[in-house]
Amino acid sequence: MLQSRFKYLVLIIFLASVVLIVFLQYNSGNSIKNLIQDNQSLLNELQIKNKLQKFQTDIIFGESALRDLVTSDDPEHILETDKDLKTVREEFTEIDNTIRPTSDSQLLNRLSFLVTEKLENSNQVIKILYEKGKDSALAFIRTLRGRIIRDSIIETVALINGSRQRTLSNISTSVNTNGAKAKSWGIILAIVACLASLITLWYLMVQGQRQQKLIRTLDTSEKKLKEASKIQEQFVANISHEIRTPMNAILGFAGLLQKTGLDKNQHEYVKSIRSSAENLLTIINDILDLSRIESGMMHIEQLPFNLRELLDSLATMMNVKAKSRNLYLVTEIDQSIPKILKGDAVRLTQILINLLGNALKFTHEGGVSIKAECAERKNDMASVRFSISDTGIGIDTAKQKTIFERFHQAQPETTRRYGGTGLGLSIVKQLVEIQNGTISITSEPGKGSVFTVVLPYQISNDAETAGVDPSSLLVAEPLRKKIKVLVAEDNQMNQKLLQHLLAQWQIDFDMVHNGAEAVTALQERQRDYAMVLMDIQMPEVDGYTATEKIRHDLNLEIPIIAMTAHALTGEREKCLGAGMDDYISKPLNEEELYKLINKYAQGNRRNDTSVIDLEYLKIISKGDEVFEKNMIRSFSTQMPEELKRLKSSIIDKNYEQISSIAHNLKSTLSFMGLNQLTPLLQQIEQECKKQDGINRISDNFTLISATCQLAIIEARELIS
Amino acid sequence: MKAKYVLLFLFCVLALAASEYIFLSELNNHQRFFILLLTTIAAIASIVAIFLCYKRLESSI
Repeated sequence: MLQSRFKYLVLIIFLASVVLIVFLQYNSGNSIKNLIQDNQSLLNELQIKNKLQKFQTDIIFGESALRDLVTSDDPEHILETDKDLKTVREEFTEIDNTIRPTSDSQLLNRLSFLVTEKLENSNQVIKILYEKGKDSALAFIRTLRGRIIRDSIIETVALINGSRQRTLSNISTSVNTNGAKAKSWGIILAIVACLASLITLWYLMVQGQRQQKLIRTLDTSEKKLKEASKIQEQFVANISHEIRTPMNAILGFAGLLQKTGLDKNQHEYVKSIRSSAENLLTIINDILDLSRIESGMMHIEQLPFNLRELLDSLATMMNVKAKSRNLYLVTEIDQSIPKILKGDAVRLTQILINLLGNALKFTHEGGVSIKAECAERKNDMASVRFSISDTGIGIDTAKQKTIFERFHQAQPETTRRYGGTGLGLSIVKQLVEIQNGTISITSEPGKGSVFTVVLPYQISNDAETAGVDPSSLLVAEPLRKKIKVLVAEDNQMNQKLLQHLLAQWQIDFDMVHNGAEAVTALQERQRDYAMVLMDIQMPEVDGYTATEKIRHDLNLEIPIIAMTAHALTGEREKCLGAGMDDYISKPLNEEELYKLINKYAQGNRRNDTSVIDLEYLKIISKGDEVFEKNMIRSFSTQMPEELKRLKSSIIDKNYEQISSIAHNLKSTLSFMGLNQLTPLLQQIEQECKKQDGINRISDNFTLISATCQLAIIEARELIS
Repeated sequence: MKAKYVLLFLFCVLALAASEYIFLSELNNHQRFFILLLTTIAAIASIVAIFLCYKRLESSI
């Protein structure tokens, strides 16, 4: 309020200054103008005075010339006298014209009369001189009439001169007054200008000081903000770590518990635990994502990807959920979309999963369709429009504006009925916007909604897809050989979980409790280990320091996979920067961990690509090569058939048949030394007993099938 | 938008100065009522316009 008043006060002062300066300038200008006019008048007066003086002299000279003419009686003097008389007349006319507009009209009239009389008198003298002779002319002159007129003229001119003198004196006084006035106004104007300058200077100084103060305050605030942001980031990181560590154990052990022989109730309880933990993890991930986006730490990758494959995978993934809710899921891809695009496939997947997940969640009848089409194509850029439409509950027009805001859901009862934090769409919107895209919604309550996302992508050529990381493919390659892994993990629960997982995959391992022990183990038995699974936050020596020692002190190139509950942006880069080869965040995803182990296990044994281990076959054949070859031949011919049967049984959800085939496969595979597949087959059998878990069965089948395909190729090579 | 108001502000200041100058000239010479009234109205209108422009400029900064 005070600040606002001060601003208006400044304006008022400015306007008052303008008015005052104009006023002063006007008066000063007026005085100067008067001064100039007075000077002009002064000059005029001086000229008049000179003219009067000359007129007076000419009158006297004219009188004298007339006398000479009469006395000398010389005709040559007549012309001269005539000229003098004419000059006198002209001079008077000039004086009359100059003085009459101002004053002295009475005196001028008198002078005019006298001048006329004088000229007439002179003409009369000349006339008498020529008509009557010299004596008559002299007699006329002696009447003294001419002298009396001359004296009257001189007297009148003296009176006019006196009057002009007074005017001159007045003008002189006016000049002095106007000069003094102009000087005063000038001084006042200068004072006002100085004051205005001083006030301006003061104002600018005050403003400058205020600005400096403000800048200092802002600097301090920025520093404090950065510190607070750092603290907040650290806090989020710590919270994330602290939540993810027990979550890792909950999810992991729930997974392991599910695989054990449980009765129906126990199985349901474990399923609930796992589902709740997964939901909780989703919420944590949402919050972390939002935190990353808002702090500007979300980086968008520019890598080539196949949009059709991505949408197919997405449809396969979401189809399970759709089927479980008796909904249809339709995918439609426009053929005009370029095959390979360059952009962030992970973020696109996140956006589409979120929108599809929401569509499925809020739809009870009908289904969901996703349509991708090319909205615009310019040079090497293509804008892809994704339309996700559903036949769900819909959203009120009034609520449509707020659903993209944080913690907003269409209805207050949505949270109670459907769950969720209200962060999903906010994250989607921000993810779309950081990719320079747009998102919009059209919806009608009770009829459904259509979410339209338009994202610009660079068109990539096919060759670039060769650079795609094979580990990102959905199907993991099977583990081909027994390896030994060094695990550095301090948390007992996580240790137990990893023990179970590695044992399940038949991977040999050594467990150490901190970084120092990991370094010692590698120092002593470096040849034993194919890779290291390294926790980051450990007592004594953490994962970063241990890695540094392994890389620099021991000079080992062994693959190191970081395992951390810190899931913040930059953590991966930090791990890779410390010399680690890869990164997996906790809670550990079984499949992801397996893929990573597999990836580095293969990378470490480029020369040993054998899948089949004929050691057992050789023992039972006791050296009979024909028997061995027959067995291998049977394997190479029977196995594709078995796999085909298993696949069709899985599609038909024929649990009995699946279980039977899986059981038979165990013995078949054991002959070829493919024992690493036995746990997967056992798991299939267990799932079949429960008449449930078709997804897990399908996943296991994918792994088994991939390994068997390699084994069949090897077997055929062995026979030939 | 901002430049428009700055120009309008300066024009109003000029109008104020001009109307005041004409007012003073008229007051010191012919003292014609109509011109005196007109210049007074112009000066007041200029001041009001200056205030409005200033307010707009303040809000736009």
